[in-house]
Amino acid sequence: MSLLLAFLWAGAAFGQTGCLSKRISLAADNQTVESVLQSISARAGCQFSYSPDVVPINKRVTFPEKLQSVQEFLRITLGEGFAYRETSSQVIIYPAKARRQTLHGHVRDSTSGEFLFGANIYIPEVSSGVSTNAYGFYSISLPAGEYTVRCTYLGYRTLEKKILIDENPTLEIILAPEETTLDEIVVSAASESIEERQPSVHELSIAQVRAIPALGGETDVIKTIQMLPGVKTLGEGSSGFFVRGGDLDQNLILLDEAPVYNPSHLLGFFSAFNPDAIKDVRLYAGTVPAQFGGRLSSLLDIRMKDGNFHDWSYSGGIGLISSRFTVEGPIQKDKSSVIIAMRRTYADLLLAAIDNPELNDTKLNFYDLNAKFNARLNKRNSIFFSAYSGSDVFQEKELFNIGWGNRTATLRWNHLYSDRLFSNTSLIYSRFNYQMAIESRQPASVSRLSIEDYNLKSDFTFFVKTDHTINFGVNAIAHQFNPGMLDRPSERSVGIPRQFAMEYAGYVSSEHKLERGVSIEYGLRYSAMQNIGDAVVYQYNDEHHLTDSASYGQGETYHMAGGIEPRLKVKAETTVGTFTVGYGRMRQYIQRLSNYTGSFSSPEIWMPAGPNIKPQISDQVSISWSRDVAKETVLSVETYYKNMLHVIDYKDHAVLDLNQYIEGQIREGRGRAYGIEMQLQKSSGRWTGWVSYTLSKTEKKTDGINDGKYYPARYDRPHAATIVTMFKASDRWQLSANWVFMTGEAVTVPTGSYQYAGKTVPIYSARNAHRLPDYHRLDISATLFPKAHKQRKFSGSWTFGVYNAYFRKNAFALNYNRTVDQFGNVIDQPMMSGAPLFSAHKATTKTWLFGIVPSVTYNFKF
Amino acid sequence: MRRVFAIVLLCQVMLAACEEEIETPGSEDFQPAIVVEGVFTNEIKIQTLKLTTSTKVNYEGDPAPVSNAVVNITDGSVVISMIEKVSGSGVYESAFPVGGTIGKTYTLTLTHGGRTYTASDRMMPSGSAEAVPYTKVDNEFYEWSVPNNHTLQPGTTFEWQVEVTHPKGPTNVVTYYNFTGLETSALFALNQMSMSLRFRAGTKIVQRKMSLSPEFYEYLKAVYSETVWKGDLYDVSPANVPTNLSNGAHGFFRVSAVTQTEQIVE
Repeated sequence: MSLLLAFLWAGAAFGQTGCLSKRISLAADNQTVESVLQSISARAGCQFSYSPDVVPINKRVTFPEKLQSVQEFLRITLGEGFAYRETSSQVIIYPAKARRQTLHGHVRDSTSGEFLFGANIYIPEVSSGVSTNAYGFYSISLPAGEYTVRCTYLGYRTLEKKILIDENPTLEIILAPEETTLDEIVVSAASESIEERQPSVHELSIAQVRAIPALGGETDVIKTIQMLPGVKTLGEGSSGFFVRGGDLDQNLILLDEAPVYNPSHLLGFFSAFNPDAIKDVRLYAGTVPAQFGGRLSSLLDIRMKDGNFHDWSYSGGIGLISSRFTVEGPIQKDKSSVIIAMRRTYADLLLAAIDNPELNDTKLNFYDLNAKFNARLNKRNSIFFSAYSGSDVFQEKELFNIGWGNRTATLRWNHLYSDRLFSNTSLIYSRFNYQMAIESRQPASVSRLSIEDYNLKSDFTFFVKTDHTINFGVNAIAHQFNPGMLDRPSERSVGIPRQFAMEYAGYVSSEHKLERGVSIEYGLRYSAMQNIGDAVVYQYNDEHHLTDSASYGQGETYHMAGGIEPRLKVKAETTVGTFTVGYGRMRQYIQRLSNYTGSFSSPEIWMPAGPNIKPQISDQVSISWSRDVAKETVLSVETYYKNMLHVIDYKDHAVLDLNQYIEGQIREGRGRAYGIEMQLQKSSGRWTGWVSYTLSKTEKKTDGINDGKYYPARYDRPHAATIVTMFKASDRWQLSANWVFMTGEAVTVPTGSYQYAGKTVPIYSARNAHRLPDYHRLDISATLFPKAHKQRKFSGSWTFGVYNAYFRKNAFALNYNRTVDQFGNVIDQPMMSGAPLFSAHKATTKTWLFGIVPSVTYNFKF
Repeated sequence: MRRVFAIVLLCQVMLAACEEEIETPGSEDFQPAIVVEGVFTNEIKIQTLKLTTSTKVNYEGDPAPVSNAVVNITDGSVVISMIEKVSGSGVYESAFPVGGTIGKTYTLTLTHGGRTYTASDRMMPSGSAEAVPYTKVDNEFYEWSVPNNHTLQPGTTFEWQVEVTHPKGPTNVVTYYNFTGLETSALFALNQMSMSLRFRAGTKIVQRKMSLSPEFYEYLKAVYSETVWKGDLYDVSPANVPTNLSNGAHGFFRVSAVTQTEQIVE
């Protein structure tokens, strides 16, 4: 602008210092700025220098006659935004450096008032923008002026609004869901351009989750996660998932910030999350923000609904497996809300109804309850309280009684220290417990395991500028581990003593948007684990044999471990697409110890790192490319390499349960995972969904296992492909289908056997050297929405689904030495003395769990 | 209670679950090897040892015996030669009655097909044994049940063989172990529970209490994990059972002390 500065002589006045303070008398009646300046120059004898491009010379002003300083006249003539400098011969008028203003506020849903996490606020005039944080808050720092604010969010109509930014304005943005027959079923997405996408971060709205066919018609967050690139599963119908070579316990699963240690129900077939209570889901498969840590491989961040701030509403569903009911509404309209969601299965009721005494004595059921309360205390303070309780029972009368459950509670306080400094402080409780009572043993005994956390954390976000945000925070977690204790009547309890540990972390990270479409996120996290007595610590030699022990008193620190975790992500937008490079180090201080081949429903021993278990460490590098290939259609390719240290494995036939010398059963090794993931995703229109393919490898290497050579992890499934598609056939019908393919899971199989004491003892291959047959499956569903009826508040929809539509017999387990007749039928009775009955022979069989599983679910709301 | 039950349970609800024959994966990797099965005890008797070969998966019939092997057992000072008295049987016997000594370590040396295999085990004490505690059921029958086969005291693991013979009836033998610690797999091997025998007055009960070395105990647990407990609700990851035999042979050369009791039901 200075280059354009032209010197204009306003009158013939002579240079004179102190011109600005001269007092003159002047009036203006609809005069141009230029003529007023000339009048001032004439009366005060000042010479002005300015650029007509900068000064609004044609603007007209009116003011009554006044006696005041030249500077005052300049201010009322030109307005704010100009500065003046006197030289020996003139007064230079130039634009003042504009004071930056902070536009801030929240983004909410128009129907419920829910905060929207991850909504994008974009300012075209400065080609920049921000996203709302987990509490729907945003803040943008801009020079004063008039701007266009464009707000987009998945499944919502884009909002565009002109706003004059001065004096740090607040803008509460209300987004309306895209129009559908039933607003809870939204499958199309708002514009989600490449610059808003984050590689390795998969965002799912609960509407998407609902639209995908599921086993038994049970909408399941984790089953949907399993269809994303880079995510694998084991077995059939399991709710466990493995991300980029990470084991089950290397996923940090957060429900409103509280860790959920076992996210499964009903022997692991269904996840613990009631879809009616969930707002959104994010899976971080690659570089995790510095704010998070404690697990090696992924972060699954699940946020519960806040509850309707406007009206009371009720919703629910009736399915073959379970039924749900949710109530939500305002306590004080637009200021506080509450939501309570319940779900219960009735498998036990069905079993009781079956005419089979054995099944009548079986109990198999679960329930879960979600509750949340929110209150906006004032413009700067909000509080949230959310809680979850879920429980499972698996009982065979007079034989055993197994139960497990999670409980979480989160109390959060959002505080705005200024328009640019946002904070969230949370007090979090989490507990997972497992118990099994052996009722067939006399006297009966009960084994109990648990992990219990108290977590205090404080996170801050400082919106420095539109293109610069700093996050920082601290947290401390008090862990109490009960790795397994057997209570016996009239006898002392036996097992593994309780353990205590503190886990600390502090972090700072920065997000910079540089020029030319380059942005960089970098952060540093420091974490540590402190083991605290009372405790007896056993010492083992290199052969893992017990050599000594040491006792520590209550409150005594007996071990510390920690280290830094750098995180880096660089993104560059180019004409050929968006490239991202990421690196992250993660440390994990607690681990789940289990060598059972079953899924989530087996006993889960959680133990801290300590003198005998080193913290697990991973380093992951990823490179991604993505590009809009058509309207709302994005093609992305990402490759990664992950190196893992001190990963856990076990000696052969390890005994973990109730074994006070459990650490002697553990073997530490290393792991490596690498692969390439491709996804083509269409996010709006009548057809939506994605096609993905992953080529990957996950291997472990542990001394004493597999002769010290690398071996595949069980969940190493090199080829994985998914097609997920949703089609809006009409205003009332929505069709969905998904097809899944995975290489069969790696298994250790017997290659021979021998006889010993009348038993057929298997001789196994190398660890996980063979594979089950490839896994594939097609699921379909159709949802019928009601006719639009504005006067009627009650609405219901029917969803009809088929799991495994083409009846693929996917192997769940292999069985050996089974007696099979000439027709391939398995004969229950064993052969006598090895002599075949008729033409029966011994064979290997596969067990498959699910044939074609139809389902029907009725969902309603009013 | 087997995992299959849990699976079937769900499948009853979900219209599913079945089993069908498939090709055996990994069968091409099979390599036959020598298998040793035998117990050398402190009883003065003809000691026996059985040598067989391993078989393919799903093999039907008895495993092939290993003949023409040279088999010796020694405590470091005395060598006991084991001879295949019936050619082709694979059963090797000591030439004369002989017994081991508690506390000593015995080493088996076996040569066959140009390869030599060795194994060692130590004879642990078997201690004393109480008579079998049977109870009267009614005027005709008496009953004995396998006791809770778990102990939490280290070093108290034994094999128990209870042989019940009525003068006019068949002989029934029950073998059980009391495992040290709590094996969850064993706890859930519900089909192994509540075993009991009924018998009449005049029945002869012979009980043999046999010691187990720590190595054999580990072997035994592994065998159970891979056989009796396999397929249970809490199935552990499959792995080869350990062995004290060298050079790729399978099985276990076991050494045990034996304490025997005899009683007549009256």
